[in-house]
Amino acid sequence: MAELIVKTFYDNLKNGKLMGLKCPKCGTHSFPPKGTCNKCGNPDLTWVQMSGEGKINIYSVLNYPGGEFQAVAPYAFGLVKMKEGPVYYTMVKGVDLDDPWKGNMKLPVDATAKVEKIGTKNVVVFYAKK
Amino acid sequence: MVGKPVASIIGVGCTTFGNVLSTPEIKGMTLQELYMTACKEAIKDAGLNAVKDIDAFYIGNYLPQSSHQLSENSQTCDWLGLQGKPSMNFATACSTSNVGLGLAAMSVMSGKHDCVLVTAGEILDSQPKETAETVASTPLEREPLDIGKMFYWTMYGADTIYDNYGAATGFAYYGPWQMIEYGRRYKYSLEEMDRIEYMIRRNDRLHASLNPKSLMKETYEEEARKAGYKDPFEYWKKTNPFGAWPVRAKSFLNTCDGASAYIVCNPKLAAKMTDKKPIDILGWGWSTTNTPFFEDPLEYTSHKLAYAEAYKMAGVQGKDLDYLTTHSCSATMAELESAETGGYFKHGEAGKAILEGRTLYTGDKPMNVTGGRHAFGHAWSASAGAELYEIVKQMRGEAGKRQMANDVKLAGLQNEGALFHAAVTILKRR
Repeated sequence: MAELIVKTFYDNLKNGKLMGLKCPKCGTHSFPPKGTCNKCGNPDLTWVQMSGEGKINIYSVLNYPGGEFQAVAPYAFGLVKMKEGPVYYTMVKGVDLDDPWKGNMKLPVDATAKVEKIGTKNVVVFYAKK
Repeated sequence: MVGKPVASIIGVGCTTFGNVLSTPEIKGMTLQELYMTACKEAIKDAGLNAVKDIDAFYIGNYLPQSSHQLSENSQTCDWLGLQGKPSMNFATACSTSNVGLGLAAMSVMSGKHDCVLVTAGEILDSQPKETAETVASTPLEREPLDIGKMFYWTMYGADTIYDNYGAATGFAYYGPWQMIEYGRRYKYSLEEMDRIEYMIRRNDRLHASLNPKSLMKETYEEEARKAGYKDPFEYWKKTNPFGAWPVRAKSFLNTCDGASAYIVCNPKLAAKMTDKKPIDILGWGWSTTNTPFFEDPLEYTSHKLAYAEAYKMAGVQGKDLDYLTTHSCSATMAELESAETGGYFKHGEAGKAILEGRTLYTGDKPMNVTGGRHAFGHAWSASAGAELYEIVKQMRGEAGKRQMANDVKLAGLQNEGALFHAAVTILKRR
């Protein structure tokens, strides 16, 4: 059987699920999933559903992202430290777009992931918790 | 302890960086002619003969979508007098011609070759009219290339599996996050960070104005004055919207066409091969990362690893350098990060140094005196070679009116290629 990591990820994303890979030897998570553990080198990883919990540590505001994302610009794009360990760069919402400098001074903030349809794409968006 | 030379640079060449459709010095040139021009200058600079003296060559190009070429080595060998010689195409995007130093050094360190030519070139602002769907009578028929299309192709070098199908764009994290984090950590206001960003680009423009091969010849002050502004910082703020907040549009790199070249030889033979003062390669470091490139925006994983490897091999530290070129792509503020990660400045000191003018060519901690990828221009694979060209000229005292106040004996060249291949090379004047 072919090891179809990318297809598994996107098929699950369509259903709102964030699938990652976990190393059974050292416990390191890979998200979005890649094929080999970068901490211990183990090539045999197992699928896990990510909690979708994390913290937004920083964000900028994109005015001209291009492509399908231009339709939703401006939007915030942030660095999220996921609960299971991976660092993920993605769209973030619920942060201050009017005064992003002030908003960044209040970070980090807890956040929860939601999969949203933007154009043809399913995108993982992290929402800051109030 | 400072390490021994592993290879030596004995000749450098570089075309004017501009647009082959309009810049007089390169107007009408093909990619082969850009390579040839840079290589002829390097070969003449070293006082060599291509057929007799050069054993092998490496040739770099990142974007075949605009050059409409692959296998530049076979297409170009006879333009350089290197028909029949061993060669290889290579690319690590915008760090390509930094990586060529290590490749060439490995060739001479192995004993396989005594003398290696490296060149890299790019045409980004236009493309041949002939495509799979259209025809043209000669390769000289070119048309301007839409910059959106060109960047779309360029981002083939990013994470095409995940990032390009998410909301990611390098313009968000490559510059803006460093600017925010620098202000947050070292207690600068947004206005103060804006001024640091302005000073970096203002300095780039000043440096480029002194360089006959640069893309932008006008200082920022001159541009502001023409627009009716006495205070160039006011001009910066009022006519320069945020691209990816808080980085402004005029912070961005400027794409162009151009080529660079250099000759690397066995360090024991350098003094015999050329009359010029050899510039020795003491060490280099490379590091590759896919997204995420860092958890701390002020310490890229690949930068940290590449600097550490290069310093270890060279037996030096960042504080020992007389000059540092950091990669100055769209990431104005990543220049601060790199200079501090590389130890050229202590953490939190680069911003202050820039405001005080210490990084100017006249300063005691000079950086990016070509004018960087903003003002000298950015021809992807060729740019690191242009930065090396400047280091060699400065080390030899051949930089004319732009000669640095510092006597540059030890220098660092740091670059990164999409997305991310970091390369650091340490050079020493013999």
